[in-house]
Amino acid sequence: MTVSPSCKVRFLFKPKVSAPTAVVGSPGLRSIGKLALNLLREQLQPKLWAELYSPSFPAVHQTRPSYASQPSLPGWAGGLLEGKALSLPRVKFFLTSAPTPLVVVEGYHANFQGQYEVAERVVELLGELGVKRMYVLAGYGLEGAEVACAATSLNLLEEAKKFGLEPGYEGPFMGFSGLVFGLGMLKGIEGLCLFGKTQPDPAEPENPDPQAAAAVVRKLDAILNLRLDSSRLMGEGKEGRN
Amino acid sequence: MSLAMTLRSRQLKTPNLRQVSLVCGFPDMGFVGKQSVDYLIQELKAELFRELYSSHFPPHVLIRKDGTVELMKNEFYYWKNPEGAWDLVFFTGNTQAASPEGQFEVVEEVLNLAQKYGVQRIFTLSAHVVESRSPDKPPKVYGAVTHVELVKLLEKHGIALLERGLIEGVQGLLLGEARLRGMEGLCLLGETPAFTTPSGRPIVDAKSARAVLEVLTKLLGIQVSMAELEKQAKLTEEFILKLEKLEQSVLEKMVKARPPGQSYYV
Repeated sequence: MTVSPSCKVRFLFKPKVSAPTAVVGSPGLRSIGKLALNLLREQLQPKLWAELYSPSFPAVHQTRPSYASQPSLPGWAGGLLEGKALSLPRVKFFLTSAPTPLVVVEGYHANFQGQYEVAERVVELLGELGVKRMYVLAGYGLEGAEVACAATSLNLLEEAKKFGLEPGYEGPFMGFSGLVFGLGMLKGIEGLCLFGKTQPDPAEPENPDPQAAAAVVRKLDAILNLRLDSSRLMGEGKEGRN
Repeated sequence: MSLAMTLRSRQLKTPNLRQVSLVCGFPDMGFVGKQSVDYLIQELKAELFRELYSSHFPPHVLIRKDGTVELMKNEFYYWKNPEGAWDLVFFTGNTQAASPEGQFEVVEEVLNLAQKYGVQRIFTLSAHVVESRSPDKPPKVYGAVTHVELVKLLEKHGIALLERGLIEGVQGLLLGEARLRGMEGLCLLGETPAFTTPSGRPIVDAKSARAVLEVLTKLLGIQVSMAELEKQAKLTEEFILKLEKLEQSVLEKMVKARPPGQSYYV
């Protein structure tokens, strides 16, 4: 496959890491992936290694939720205020070597024009870094286990059983994380997705559910032994589980 | 900044084919075209040889019931006719491009491939939505053609010519573009009321798919057992009958529950 020239990657340092595992999340359903990733960043303190910029990243999404992009709705470009400085919307790549070599990918939802291209570039970068496996953190809104899983192969699903993980969601997996998960499979990166059970909020689909995010973090911790403390998330947010 | 070239293909095999017809069906109302093509692929044991991916496809993946992931894609299958007559290429997929630009790009790719394999006739399969359908008669099959000379072929097989309206998506676009390239094609459309469940999920209309395949197999001069499709058609009929009964009982309960003497609407 060819990679488009329209994405730009800014490298902050040359990574020295051997066969890292990737953890991917983005602001999806009830922000579960994003919250879980924030916790990882807080507690593992990975270093920002690269940033991916795209003209298809709106600062304002016309679609609700942001990951449900439509061909006719490009959104509006603009800058984001983060802390004291203004910056452009971007995908961030963090890296840590302890307790295990890990790339943490914080996604951003492109509009319809850019979703595949961005996901391809992300997967390519992970491939160049030697990533062979990724864990994708997200949410699902059905009755079932606290955390359900999906994978790029039946073998990996079998392996996931050891951690009490079973498939429990059937249907579309939209936006950045879904496409990185799927395109990774084409590039030979195996993937296991952890879906935290949540109650969808139709009025505010990305309304954070920290408890569901904590459940996802606990499963990831059990698999990768990252020694994370999810209790901070448990005490967060006014939205309880239903 | 320029945007990427959006279509990518993955060639899995290079079949050696002679005298090829192309058959195309995609998810449509009642899944008539999709079910018809999938059934032929299954019954003839056609082999997958090429995949297409496009950034114009809907930006998501599908999680299957068994927990594995599937990308949105279009697929080509081939079947070599052991009788030595027409070989077949099937073009199908779990989605269509979500923009006209993407649909045109896919169709260009399909026709380039069709010309490479010397495809002589293209059949697209789809649905013709009607308000209701007689349960006692087989669903009607309508036809549309790229060239008036093909009308006689439709008449010979008792297919009603569709003279007005439009054929959405790849099923229509493929034939329009084929005509510009001097290739001939037909669209067969199975009559369907496009049944849905109460929550709005489409129900596969296997009865209509069967009617389409009855005609298509005659046009292609091939024999395919319809036994499995008949079973599916029977199950569909039973399911729809149950749904209708359920709907009726809900209506009756609503009528009984209304406060006496008040006007109401249902």
